[in-house]
Amino acid sequence: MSIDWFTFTAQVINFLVLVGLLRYFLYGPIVRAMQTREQKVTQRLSDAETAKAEANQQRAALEKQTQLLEEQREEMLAKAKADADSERQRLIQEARKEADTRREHWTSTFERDQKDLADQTRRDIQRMGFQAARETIQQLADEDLQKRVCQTFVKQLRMLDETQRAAIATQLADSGNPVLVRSADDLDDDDQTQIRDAIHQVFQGDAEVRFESDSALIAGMEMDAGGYSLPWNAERALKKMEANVA
Amino acid sequence: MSGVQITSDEWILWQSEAWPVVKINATLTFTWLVMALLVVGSWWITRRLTSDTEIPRWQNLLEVLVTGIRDQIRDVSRHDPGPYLPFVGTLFLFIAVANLLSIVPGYVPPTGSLSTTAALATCVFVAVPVFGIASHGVGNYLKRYLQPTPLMLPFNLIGELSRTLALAVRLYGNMMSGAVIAAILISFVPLFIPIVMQVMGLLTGMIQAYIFAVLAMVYIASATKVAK
Repeated sequence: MSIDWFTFTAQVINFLVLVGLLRYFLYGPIVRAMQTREQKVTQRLSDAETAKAEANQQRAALEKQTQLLEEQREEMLAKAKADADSERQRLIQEARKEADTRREHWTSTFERDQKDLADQTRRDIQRMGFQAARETIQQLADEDLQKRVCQTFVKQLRMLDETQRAAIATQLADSGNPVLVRSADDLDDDDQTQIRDAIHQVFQGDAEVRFESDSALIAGMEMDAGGYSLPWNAERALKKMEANVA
Repeated sequence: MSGVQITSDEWILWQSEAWPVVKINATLTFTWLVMALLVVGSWWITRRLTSDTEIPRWQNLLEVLVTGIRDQIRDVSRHDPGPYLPFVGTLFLFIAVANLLSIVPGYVPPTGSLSTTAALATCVFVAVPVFGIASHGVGNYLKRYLQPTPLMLPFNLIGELSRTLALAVRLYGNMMSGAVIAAILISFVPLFIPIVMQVMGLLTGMIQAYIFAVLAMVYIASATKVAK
């Protein structure tokens, strides 16, 4: 039960030595190892946090990029659709325009053809009608008709008004040319004398009168006196009628 | 009871003839054995320490031990355990290993010697002002004995001494009683009961190691806290 002081002293020394030894061999290394590991773990956690933050940033950037691309795609799609629509409209418009043009062209061509055909038909009918009239008149044109034509011509000559008479007379006197009388058939001497006398009387002169025959006149007579012409024949009447009909 | 050696101090292995005071008894021998075990074991394990995530199981054991001691110190002192770890940790490890080895036949725990426990308690007694002064200076530390009034100085001093005495006697009494009771029971009931007592002794030994270390830390903490 008593304290052995030598043992006591030795135990104090022993304990202090043990503290020093354990401090060197146990606590120091172990605490250092744990601290190193903690630092490593902290470092790894920090690295992981950094990596996570970077990954988040990259993800955000990628999402943004994707969204941008999506928007661009939508935009391009919408634009392409709009372009296609407008192009379609343009093509339809063009086609309609072309169709209208062609229809108008066809219509006008058709109308022109129709008109031409109608004109042609009318002309043919006119021509045939007047041909028939000419033939009929030519067939009727015998000596009696010639004489009647001659009488009618003389009658017309005498029916000229004063102004025309004076103008033609002046013309004949100035030019000195002969008066040319054309008829469908040759006139006999009586008829020629009758016409010459009538001319001399109407224009009060003794101008030379020449007589010519022209079958194209069909039935009738024409007088050409110094630029003035006094026609009376079936051809002329028919032409006048044709002009009126056309 | 006459054949029972109640303290290992009296088991003398060698004595100087010139100076009879100088002697090597069982207490010192077993103390050295425990020290050798602790130091060699620590050296053996810590010579290949690794700071990787996978560690050897012995290193793991030591880390658990050291971490546990550090946590206890931190809980008691509310300070960084760094400066107190070698002192308090060694107290715990020495007492715990010395007590644990009592299951070895023929071994007598040095903690069953009043000389050893007194030596340890004296170390605590000295360490308390040393840590207190190291933390806050001589003046601030000594003012503690005049608190709350200078009239309390004698009582504070008595308290300081008595708790040191209590530390020494508590450990000694517990360990010695275990040994004594085991010895008594062996003489009466040689079988089974001593084994139960051994188990009880181990438990008591661990508890005493824990109590001793924690009380030492409490005293040191109160000394370092005072100056604030």
